[in-house]
Amino acid sequence: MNAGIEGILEIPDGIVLVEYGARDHPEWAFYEIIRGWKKRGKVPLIIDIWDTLHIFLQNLRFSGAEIDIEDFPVIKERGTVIVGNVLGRIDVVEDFEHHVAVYGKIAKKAPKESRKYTVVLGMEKFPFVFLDDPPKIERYFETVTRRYLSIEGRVNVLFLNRSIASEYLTKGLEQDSDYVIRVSKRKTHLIKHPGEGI
Amino acid sequence: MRLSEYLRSVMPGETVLIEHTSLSDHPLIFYTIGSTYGWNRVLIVDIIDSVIPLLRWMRLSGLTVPDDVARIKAGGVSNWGRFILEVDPHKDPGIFLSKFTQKLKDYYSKNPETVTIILNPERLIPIQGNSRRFILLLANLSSVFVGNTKRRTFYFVNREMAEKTYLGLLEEAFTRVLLLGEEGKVLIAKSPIPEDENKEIEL
Repeated sequence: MNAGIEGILEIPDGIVLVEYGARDHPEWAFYEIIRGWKKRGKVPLIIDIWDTLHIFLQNLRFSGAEIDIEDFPVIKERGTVIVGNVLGRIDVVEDFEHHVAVYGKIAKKAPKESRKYTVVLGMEKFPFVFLDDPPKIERYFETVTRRYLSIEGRVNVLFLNRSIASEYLTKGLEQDSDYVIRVSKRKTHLIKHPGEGI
Repeated sequence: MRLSEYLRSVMPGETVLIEHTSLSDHPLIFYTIGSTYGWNRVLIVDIIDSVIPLLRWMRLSGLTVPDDVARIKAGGVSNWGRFILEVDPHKDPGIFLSKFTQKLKDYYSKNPETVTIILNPERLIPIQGNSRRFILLLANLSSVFVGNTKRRTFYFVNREMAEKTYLGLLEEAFTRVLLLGEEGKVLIAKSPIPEDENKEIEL
């Protein structure tokens, strides 16, 4: 198991940012988190932005690894490939208030236990069309991502492709995350954590 | 490892990104793909006649490519090849991209051993006014086909001209990334096989 991932599997609470470059293999960190949680009887809710779940599963498949996520609750934001148990889809992205309202409605359909563990794939693809517009990114932080900051008792793992994200997006997410894991090829390094470490 | 040997290790369903420059020897990769798999299995998706400079390179190098290779043409004026479809890349992207996707799906179900070569899709981005929405739509269309075992696909993208985030989206989605230098070397930058990464292939 990669450094950092083992500790993440045990935390009861917190925001975890997993950063990677476009030529890295973040699908392995995803694989280890999903398998680790599954072993502990935890079935996460997956937020699949623009078919990133499909991309991760295909890259795993050609490396000879498969994970069965057919029963996992999935919320689909844009994209077309259906993987897992899709509870609903959201096509509205740029009207943040509307987006959050639809999201809340769909998320209620997920089992209560799954809502405690959320994995978001394709973080940079949500603000992709306004990446060069910090005022809009700030509004996105305020209305979408920072809305969940005060919620306790949940683990949120966010996957971010740094080759695509703007510096403003990356730094904003890093600041708000309790744990930051950086992926380099197939290895992971924990570069931010609270207190004494994990 | 020789390029032809490397190509044989690419599995059905995979998509390979070949990042070249304006001065690199990528025409030789194009030729090796065709001669390794057989030109009769090749489908060329040609953005604004990008195949023409490659064919001229072949002619000037004394190599030949049959002139009945299947071709989807998006823009340009050349009549080379056997036309499967022609789309107008200046039109509304919703229209020409869905027409194109539908045709590809049909073609793959009728020709389940296809080797697709996509030439310089990055040129569509300025044609569509550098629209961020279009970049995402175009890259996502490529991601959806990854894992479709009726085809293997090779993308040729000029990394000196491509929009950076477009390149990033393709690199993330595809199973392999090859980088061409101007000194004739091909570096394996991403591979499903860990020990292949950072190795070089001989052209």
